[in-house]
Amino acid sequence: MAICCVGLAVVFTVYSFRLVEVQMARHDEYAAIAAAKNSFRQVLHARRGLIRDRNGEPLAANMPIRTVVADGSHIKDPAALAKIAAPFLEMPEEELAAKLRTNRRYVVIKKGVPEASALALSKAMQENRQRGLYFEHDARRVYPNGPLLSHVIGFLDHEGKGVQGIERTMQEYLEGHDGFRHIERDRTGREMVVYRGQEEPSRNGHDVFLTVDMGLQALLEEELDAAFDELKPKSITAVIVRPKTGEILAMATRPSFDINAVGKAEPEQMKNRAIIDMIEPGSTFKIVAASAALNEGLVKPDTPIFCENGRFLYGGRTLRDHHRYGNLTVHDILVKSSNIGSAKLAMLMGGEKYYEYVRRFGFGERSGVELPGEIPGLVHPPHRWDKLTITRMPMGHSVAVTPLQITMAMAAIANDGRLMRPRIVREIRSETGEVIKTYEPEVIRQVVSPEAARMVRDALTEVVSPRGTAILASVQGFSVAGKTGTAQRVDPRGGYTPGKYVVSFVGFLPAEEPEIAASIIVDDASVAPGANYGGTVAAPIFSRVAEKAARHLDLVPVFKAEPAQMVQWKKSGSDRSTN
Amino acid sequence: MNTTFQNHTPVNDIPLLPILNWALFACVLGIWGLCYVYLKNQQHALGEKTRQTERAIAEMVSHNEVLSAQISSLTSHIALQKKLREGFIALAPIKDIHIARLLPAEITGPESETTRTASTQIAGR
Repeated sequence: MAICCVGLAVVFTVYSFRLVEVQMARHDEYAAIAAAKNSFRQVLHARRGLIRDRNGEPLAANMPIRTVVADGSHIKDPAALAKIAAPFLEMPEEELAAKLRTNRRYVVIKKGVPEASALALSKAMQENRQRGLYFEHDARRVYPNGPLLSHVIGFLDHEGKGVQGIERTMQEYLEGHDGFRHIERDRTGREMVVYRGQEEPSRNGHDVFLTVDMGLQALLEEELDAAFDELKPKSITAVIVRPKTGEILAMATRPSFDINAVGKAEPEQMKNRAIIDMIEPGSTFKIVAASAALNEGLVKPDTPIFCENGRFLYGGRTLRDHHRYGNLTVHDILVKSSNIGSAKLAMLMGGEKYYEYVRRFGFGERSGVELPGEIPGLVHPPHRWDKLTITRMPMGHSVAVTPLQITMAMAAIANDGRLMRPRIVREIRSETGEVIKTYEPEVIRQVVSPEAARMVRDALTEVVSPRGTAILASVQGFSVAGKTGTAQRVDPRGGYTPGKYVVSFVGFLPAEEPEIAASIIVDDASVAPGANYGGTVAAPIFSRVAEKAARHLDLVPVFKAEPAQMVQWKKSGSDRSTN
Repeated sequence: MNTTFQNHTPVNDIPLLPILNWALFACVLGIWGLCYVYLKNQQHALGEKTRQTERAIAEMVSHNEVLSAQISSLTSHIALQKKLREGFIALAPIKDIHIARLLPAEITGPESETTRTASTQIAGR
């Protein structure tokens, strides 16, 4: 009896020691094992913010999808589970069963499963008392408008980070902040809510509102598509801005791509040429010399300048006009697009002063628009000029600008000489609609006086008349001001490519109280030799775009054009400069 | 033989009071335990309800996002242009006579159908 008692005492003592060891001495070790088995850090996914146009139309949205993962330790019958899940996951049953025969606790079965399929599979598993498959939240970025505005919106990489366009520059606002929650699960894999630990809620990304008007963008792209099909150029670029605020209302480039299928796009299609292409602007650049000379008080609009009867020998080379002009007023130098007259205006100012105005118009520096990859263009300082530069730069050669820069320079003339910073982001709002940040219009500088700008504007209005080079840019009911440009295409290996031209029209309307300024730039259009000019190729596209834009923006027509205009235009056909 | 008998049978006293005390203690302990288990079960039940409600909300939010994305796609310019091309919808231009302007346009010059603009196809595509 005593022996039995002693034996029992020893046994209980041993068990007691073991109990103390497990519960106290090695508590942390066993607690960690239990936690590793049943505790999880659950990620609370944040939603990426939306991109919207100025009217709130969604341009980039999120489509919720699920990633299906398996926990091998919870799967009792892989074959039965595969039979249930295969139709929902659209996978062969055998392949799925093979994936489910695992002891690993985390196996990705399929990504990108639609929300509806995941929910249906979850219900089917509950009905059949199967477990082991879990559904992680994920989202796919969708762009409802496909190729429309694709160069501006941009796209994401496989990690969900913006790599192009607004998706990239506004990443810090669009990207939300994932939260987390420490949870414990029971042996069936269900969360035990009472044992929830530390928790940090997620913060969804903010919505970005652009200045772009999708109605205007759609009609611009429709016209560009038509022109691209008809003219078969290497590229077409167009920008529409509001001169008073610098807001970009539309921006498009051809060739283009569908952001929903980025993988199929060629690098050439993905270039936003409005900000990363350098072009020689041609005669559109003549507004710089004219407005600078007027602003300096060196000339008046009616000051005559002798245009050397079309041939001006300077620096050992002959500069030519398309017509043998004798004396032209400063006003007519723009209307007739005289190269010699523009060169003489720049020479009147001197290289340093002229260069100062070129820079004041914003050429040679980044505009600061909220888009990635913008280039500053190329404007050499006077000490790097050769003898001919003072005669070539005023006619838009020996200088490289971006389409956005030349548009903003024209917008400055339309805006009484004030150069505005181009903006494409209007404001940032939280998902509850609270305004986080507003991008206000910003005046970069007063480039020329309002009086000088108005004198240039008067001349540019006459450019779009039977006397000027761009009658085809006219718009019914509105007076249009603008300038044509034709430049030989720069060869990347140096020099120019014979027979290849970059033609453009940059203008604004209504000329009296400008509401929109726009540029159309066509690179290497396939048209008949001798017909590839800004006035014949780019101006008609501008006219169609501007007419539709005026209707879309409900601009009130200021007049109805004279019926004789057509006749006059036909009669003055021989007087049209081809520049 | 002298035998003596004891009439008084020895009986242990039952300590009722301690027993009652212990019984009461046991009852209180038992009731406390049952209450603990009941509350714990309630806690789990509420937790389960919370989990299901959270899940329902998450599903609702996801469903809402799916529908929002679908609505965006179906009402996008691309989709509307496609419907327009296919003839499912049509554009009816608003005539000027039906537009009431707060600031009437100042019209100068007579109206003419011969006025040339690019959209009147003279130089058009």
